[in-house]
Amino acid sequence: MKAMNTTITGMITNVYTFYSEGFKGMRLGKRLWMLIGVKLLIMFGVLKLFFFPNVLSEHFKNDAERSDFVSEQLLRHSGKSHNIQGEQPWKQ
Amino acid sequence: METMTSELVDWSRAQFALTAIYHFLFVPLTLGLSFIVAIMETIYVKTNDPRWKKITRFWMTLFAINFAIGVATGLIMEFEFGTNWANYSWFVGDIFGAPLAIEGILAFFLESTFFAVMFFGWNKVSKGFHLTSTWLVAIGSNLSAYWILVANGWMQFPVGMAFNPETVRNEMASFWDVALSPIAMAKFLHTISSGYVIGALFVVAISAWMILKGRDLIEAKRSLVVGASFGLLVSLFLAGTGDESAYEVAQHQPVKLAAMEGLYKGEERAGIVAWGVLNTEKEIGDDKPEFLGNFEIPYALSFLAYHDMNAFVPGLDDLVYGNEKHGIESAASKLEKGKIAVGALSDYKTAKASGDEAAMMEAETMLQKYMGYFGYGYLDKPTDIVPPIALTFYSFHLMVGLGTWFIVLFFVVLYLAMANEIARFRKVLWLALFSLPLGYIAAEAGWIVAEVGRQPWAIQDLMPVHIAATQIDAGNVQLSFWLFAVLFTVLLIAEIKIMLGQIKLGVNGGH
Repeated sequence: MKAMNTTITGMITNVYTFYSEGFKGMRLGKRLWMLIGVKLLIMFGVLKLFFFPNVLSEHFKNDAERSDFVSEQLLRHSGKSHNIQGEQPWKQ
Repeated sequence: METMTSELVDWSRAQFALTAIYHFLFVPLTLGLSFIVAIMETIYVKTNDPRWKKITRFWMTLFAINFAIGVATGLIMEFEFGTNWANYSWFVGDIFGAPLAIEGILAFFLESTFFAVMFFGWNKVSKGFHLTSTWLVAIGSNLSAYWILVANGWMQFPVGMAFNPETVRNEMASFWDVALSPIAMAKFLHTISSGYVIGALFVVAISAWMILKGRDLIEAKRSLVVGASFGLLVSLFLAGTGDESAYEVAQHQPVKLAAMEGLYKGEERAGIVAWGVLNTEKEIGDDKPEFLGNFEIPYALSFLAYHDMNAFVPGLDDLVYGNEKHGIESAASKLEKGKIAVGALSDYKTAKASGDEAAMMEAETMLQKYMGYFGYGYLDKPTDIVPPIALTFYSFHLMVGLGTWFIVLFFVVLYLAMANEIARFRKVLWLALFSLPLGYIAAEAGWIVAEVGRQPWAIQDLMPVHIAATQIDAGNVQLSFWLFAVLFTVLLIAEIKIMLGQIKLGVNGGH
């Protein structure tokens, strides 16, 4: 058991050293990682947060409400809506 | 009744097109270069020649730059599904979710794990393990593309699902029908092979520039041979997959094929238009000539579309107005059936609200009978089934013309490189260099054919684009469109700048 624990610890240490030495040795890679970081920050911290809400997840509590809404939308476009006065909740 | 504004639909569509086009600038190079790097490393491991190690590391660094800039740009399209295309996202249900989830898991585990070994593992892991990691990154990238194209293939030819009127969603009935759909397979092979051609063009173009400038000559010439050999093989394969793709389009999206060829009146023993200028005054159903000038290869379209030189290929007039002789249903008839399907959904909902189970069953039976025409219920007139003809036609012919040019280019470059004469033919080297942007133009033209050519559909026959869109503020979509345009342009400039800097450093540049 002790030998197995030592092997696992050794493996984790090796993987950690592999990655840490790899990152430390990077030159161009550091610039690329910075670019990836800034890109993800803009994408998730600005675009997703302020411009791209998931409409169905944010405005409806459960799948039944979501399917009712989409069903209403599909029938409204065909002129067969049961509730044609209905507004989109995010527009109220 | 509140209706979807065409301005909103157009901006949502433009935004998706912009993000897809930019995303697809990065993807093909990743797909192609990953395999070329793996081939180069295989040669290094086989020969143990340190020059091949330098060559592999040089191209691997350029691969990493493209990967880093392009990574996650596809996620933006997923944001757009949830915001701009909520009706569509709900309607497709788990059909779209399953392939994308598999893609995400594969991309994360396969690519990210072995990517680290590829870059950090030189001299730390065995040569064999390093080489295996490089191949697994290439295979992983291509498998990711497979799942994305399965999702796209389903939109072009929906199979393996059942529509549930209760939830208004499509539910997966057969995973294998979705995963092995003929359209998805043809699309996958054609798309990845276009990526391989771009990868080969990239290697050939940069190597040509290095030879022109007299830099790292031995490494550049070796790279040129690998790039041109790979390029010649994959560009021939690309032509074959294009043939298969066109065959599948003929079977499942005949309107798209007719638009690709500018074919209005269907004919037996139809020729393919090798070159042509469309008559802009031509309308569906009139007798004006289709072209102001064109050159046709006889019988080729019948053979391409149905593998039979005498086969009848329907034109746009046949597909819109029907052709009884050839058993082609008119669009007007499909519109009628579509309205019955949408009406049946409405009846189902009414019956459910009143608790009338017999009426629910009756409506459901009617809905299942006509579900294949559901999307036609939202079209106003038969000619609405026709996509923008000029854009589809010219994009298709541009793609095919460039694809032919690449075969010639790779053949000539390979011949001269193998004869060790390439350095004397400077014009060929310049042509190779300037052919690189043509590869991207061809790939984007291919996407335009695939996506514009299937309009008006978001999901073929089931959901037109204007029904797929969410009714949100058009101003927000416009604003985010321009934000994306700026973000992606900055990323593209960054990629080109970093890439050029690294190329100038040469094979001893390191990473």
